[in-house]
Formats: sequence, structure tokens, C-alpha cells
Amino acid sequence: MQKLSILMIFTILFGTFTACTPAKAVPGQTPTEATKQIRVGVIFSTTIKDEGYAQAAYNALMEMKEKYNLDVSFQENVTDAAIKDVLRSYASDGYDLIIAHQLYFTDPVNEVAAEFPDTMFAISGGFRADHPNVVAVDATNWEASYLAGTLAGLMTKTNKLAIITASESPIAKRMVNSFRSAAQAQNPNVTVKHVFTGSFEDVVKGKEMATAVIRDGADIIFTNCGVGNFGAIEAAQENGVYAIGSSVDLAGKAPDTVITSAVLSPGEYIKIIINGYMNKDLEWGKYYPMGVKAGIESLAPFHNFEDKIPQEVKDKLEKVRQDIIDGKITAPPNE
Amino acid sequence: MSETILSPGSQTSIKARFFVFARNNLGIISVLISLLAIVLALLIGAILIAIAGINPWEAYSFLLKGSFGNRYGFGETLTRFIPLLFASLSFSIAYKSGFFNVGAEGQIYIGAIGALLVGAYISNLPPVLHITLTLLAGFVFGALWAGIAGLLKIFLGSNELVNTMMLNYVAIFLVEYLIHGPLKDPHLFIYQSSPILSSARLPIILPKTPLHAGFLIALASIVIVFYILYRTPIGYQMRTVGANLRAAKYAGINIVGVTLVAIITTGGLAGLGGAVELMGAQFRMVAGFSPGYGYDGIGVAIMGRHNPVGIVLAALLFAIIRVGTGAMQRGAGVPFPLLSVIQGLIIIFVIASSYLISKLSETTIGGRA
Repeated sequence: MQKLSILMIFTILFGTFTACTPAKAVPGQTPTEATKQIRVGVIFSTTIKDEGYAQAAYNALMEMKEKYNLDVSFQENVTDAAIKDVLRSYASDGYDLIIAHQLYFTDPVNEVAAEFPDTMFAISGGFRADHPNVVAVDATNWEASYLAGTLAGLMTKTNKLAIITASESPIAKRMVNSFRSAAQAQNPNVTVKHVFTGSFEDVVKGKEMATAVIRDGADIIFTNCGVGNFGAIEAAQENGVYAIGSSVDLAGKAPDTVITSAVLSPGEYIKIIINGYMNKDLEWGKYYPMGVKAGIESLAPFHNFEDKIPQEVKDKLEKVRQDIIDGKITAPPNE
Repeated sequence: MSETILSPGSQTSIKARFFVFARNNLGIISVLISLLAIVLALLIGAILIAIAGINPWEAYSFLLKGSFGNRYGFGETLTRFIPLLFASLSFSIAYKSGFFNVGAEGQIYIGAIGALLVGAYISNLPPVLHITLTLLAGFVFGALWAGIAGLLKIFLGSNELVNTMMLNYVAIFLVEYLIHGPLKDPHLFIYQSSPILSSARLPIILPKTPLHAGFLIALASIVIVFYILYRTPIGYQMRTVGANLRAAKYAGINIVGVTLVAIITTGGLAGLGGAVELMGAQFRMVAGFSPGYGYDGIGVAIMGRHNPVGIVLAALLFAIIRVGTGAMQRGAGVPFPLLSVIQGLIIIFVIASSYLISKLSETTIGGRA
């Protein structure tokens, strides 16, 4: 009886839904324009309200939606374990362009793209494009850190700097090396301490790590550990030292603590990909690392520090920026 | 109908008639209660969706379209069903034997690691042999991992509930360590294991969908598990130990031996779930390999009331929720936090209703009025 009853629940449930859905779903879809809209699906690994990587991309996506009148869909909080399913769902739903907005989605995209040769795939922040229907647009991940290091090297009084990253990945190590060599290029006496929090989500750990390096004498902290940035900035504020934020302009959180931020504009990935798709000027099957020149990486405005930073420092910073664009400064090692 | 018959006694006979009515129509009543639970959960969800400014009917239509409406969605739902089924079988068989294993999540991870070691690092085997060995490795690793908590219980009497739960975290972080270190794919700079070899991969059984042969293994497992539990002497002993430990002792059942069998099967089933997920769907170990299948399995087993048909349907419901909510997000733009709320509502309401039903059947059939 029990078995039968559970079975009945399901049949009744499905009956209700199938009876109700067509009446509602059809009128919702008919007002779309006669000309076929391009359908774009975007996959995020976090929520679009993360004030960072996904949110910037979401905003850019909405801008592109207006610009090209796209039919846009997205899915948030997709884990590494679920990514292949989501990619296949989008592809079998007939989406024209599918953008996976996360470095770790690189491999799954390349795997699934082989199964759907007629669908275009893009990985923003990805590092490889194996098939003619895949493109990977990536940041250099060191150019903005180099600018931050230059500024920190010029501004430090104790000659002690610190950089907080979330992990010890090769990308993080390249950032650290970039920050260190940039600071030392301006001031050979500088030492840079590197600590990592082990998580992109841990605010408390960010604060702990920052407090520890401040006790060691660091007077400028470059924090690059996801949500942990907020903890690190709080520690800097409480101890009266300066911080350089990352990913987004964090000056609003502590205007008299955050000198600037090494801004990554993940929205630019989305714009480059969608513009490239619509105008057919992006070559699919290729990997594009882009940085300061493409506008993906930059330093945020100085805000409250505009008057406190000497013009001489700003000039040196501008020269370094130009050198990066001209290719005079090359990528530091990643180990 | 009952009103038409006049009876001399007032209070007691109405009560008695109610029990007769309830007893005769228990099936229908429990259907209505369960149905009401799901409808209530969906209604509350609909209100929340409407508050978010989205048409709830459109959103719910994507829930079904995404999980059943097309060939791909159907295949994906059945694919998600597989690990949920293994996890719930793992919980059920242990529960029936009086062993509370809430560590299926960790055992899934460790089982998958076992499968990875055999599947990725032993080469030049024919597929049938390779697949068999890889599945076996998943079972053995899962069983060993459950065995830690099991031996602690048998020899030290420590609480397996706490130990299996804590071992989940150990397992998850151990796997994270392994894919950052010894098992990291040397060809990649991101932290994933090497993929398992093609000879150890389970074939797709429904083309153009991700549905793999693990589905058949899962169905076979449910038959085997319930055959063992209800048709073999050891199964009888396991259920006796689970139902009444003192009676089982008095009857001369070897408690340690029976508990060991329960531990091996519960850990092994969860480990097998991890192995099948690795061999059929994911191929590589990644951080977050199991998005809570082990925990959901507990819910599935309770919702299915440790009964084979119930478990299959409950696992299917969980799989539909998992796959369908993704489609709700993609199709109707329902925000993710709201989806978690709706998932939670459905699960809470259905589990609460199953307790209500068992209470009702207790009072009308088992208990005295």
C-alpha cells in the first residue's frame, strides 16, 4: 500500500504539472521577435552577487544583452563536479554560445565541446582551447600585481611589504614574484613576505594573516585572497597601515586604508568574447592571455590618496604601465 | 456514508468509526498527506518565486522540462539518481543493522580515490577486468574507511554517529590534499587528479545523454541489498541486531560479526557509489567531487522509509530536484539562494509527512485507541 501510495503521488504530481505548463509556457515564448535571437548561456562558479568575479561578468553580460538583443541565460554556483552536466544541458538546449566563467572549467569545456561541434564555447579565465569551437580568454595574472608592487615599493617606509594570496597555486606564485620584483625594481631594500589563507572564502583567516604580517613590520599589504580581502583590510585599518586591494576597487570599504586596488575586470572577458562572437573578430580554437593593454587588468583610482601620493611616484607608475604595454617587462616565473 | 448509519453511542463510536475508516483507507490517506506535503512546499516556494518577480508556473514548468522534458534532461536525472541511490542504500543497510552511518559522503570520496588509483594507474588491462577491479577498489576503500568508525565502535564502544560524521571532513580534506600533491595531474597546473584510463570508464547506455552503465549496477545493488536483508540468514540477523540488540544477544547472534558485515556493506556501497560516479561521469577527482550525495542519501533513505520502492522514488525525487532546479535557474532565472530554500522546503515537508503517516498507522493499526 505504501509503495502504491508513493507511486500515486508522483503520477498525480506530474499530471498536474503537465496539465498546467503548456497553457502558461507558450504565451511566454511567443512574443519573442521573428528574427532569431542569439542565445547565450553563462555559467558561474559563485553567485552573481559576489561583488567580484561573477558580478562584474554578470553586469557586462547585461550590457551585451542590451547591445546585441541577446537571449541570455545563466546558472550560478556550479561546482566542478556539476559543470559538465550544465554545459551539456545548455548545448542540448540549443544555445549558440556558452561561456564558462571560471578557470577550473577549462578542462570540462574542452571535453564537452568535442561532443557538440556546432555549439561555440568560451572559457573566460581559461587557459586552453583544444577544439575549433572553443576559445579561452585569460588575464595575464601578473601585470596588475606588477603595478601594485611598483606602487608599494615606492611608498613603503619600513621597507617591508606583504602579499596575501588564497593559495600557493602557480598563478598565485606568479603574482607574488611579480609583486616582489616590481617592488624591488623601485627599491632594492624591500623585502616581501608571502602568506596564504588556503581559501577564497575565509574572512577571518584573511584578517589573521594580515595581523601576523603587520606585527612583522609590513606597512603595505597587498591582499589577493577573495573574500579574505575584507578581513585583511580590516586588520590594516585597525593597525594603521596601508592596504592594496585586488579584483575590484575596494577603496569604499576603508577609504583611508586602501591606497588602490589591482583591478581585474572579468567583465572585459565577457565583452571580448561576445563582441568577438558577434563581430567575428575573435579566432575560435585559440588561447588569448590579455592584461593591461586590453583593459582586463589595471590599478583602481587613488581616491583619498590622490593628493598623498607624490607626482613623482605617479610618473614612475605610469612609465612602468607603458613598459608593460610595450612588452618591455616580461612575465615573472610561476614557481 | 458513515453519517447515514445511526448509532446509540455518541463519542466513542465516532472515534471508533474514525479509526475503522482510517484503517481501511490508510493507503489513500497517506497518499493525500504526502501529496499535501509536496503541494504545500511547492506553494510556499511559488509565493517566494512570485515575490522575486518571476512567474512561478513558468519556473516550475522548467523544473519538469529540465529533468524530464527532453532526452538529455531525462538522462541527466537518471545519472544524478545513481550516487543518491548508492548513498541511501548505504545508510539503509546500516540503519537496519543498528549502525548509524552518516559518513557516506566521506566514504564516497575515499571509494572514488580507490577507484582512481586502480583506474588511472594500472594500465594494459582488458576493459571488463579493469572495470571490475576498479569497482572492487571503490568498494574496498569505502569499506575500509567505514571500518575505522566501525572498529572504534566494536572495540571501544565509541559512538559511530559522531565518528562517521567527523571522518567525512577528514576524507574531504584528505582528497583535497591528494589532488594538490601526490595525485595531481602533472600535465595540468590546476588541482585535479589524472583522469582514469578509458579502459576503466563505464560505457554510456543511453546515447546523447550522460547516462552510464552505473545505472544498471545501481539497480542490481538495490536488488542484492534487499535480497540479503530479507531473504538470507545473515540479513535476518542484521535486522534482529538492528531491531533489538538484547534479543539478538539472547538468541545467540554473533553481534560483532553481524556488525562487521553491516560496516563492510555500508562503507562498501557508498564507496561503490563514489567509484561509479568517477568511472561513469567525472573521470577525474576534483575538489567538491561529491556535492553532498552522502548527506542527501540519508534524506532519501528516511523519505523512502528504508523500503526498496520508496528509496527508488525518493532518490528519483532528489535527482529531479537537483537537475530541475538547475533548469529553473537557466530557464526562468530563479535566483540560486531561492532554489536552496525550495529544495529544503520539499525535503522538510516530505520527511515530516512521512513521520505523520507512520504515527497515523501506529495509532490506527498498532496502537490502542
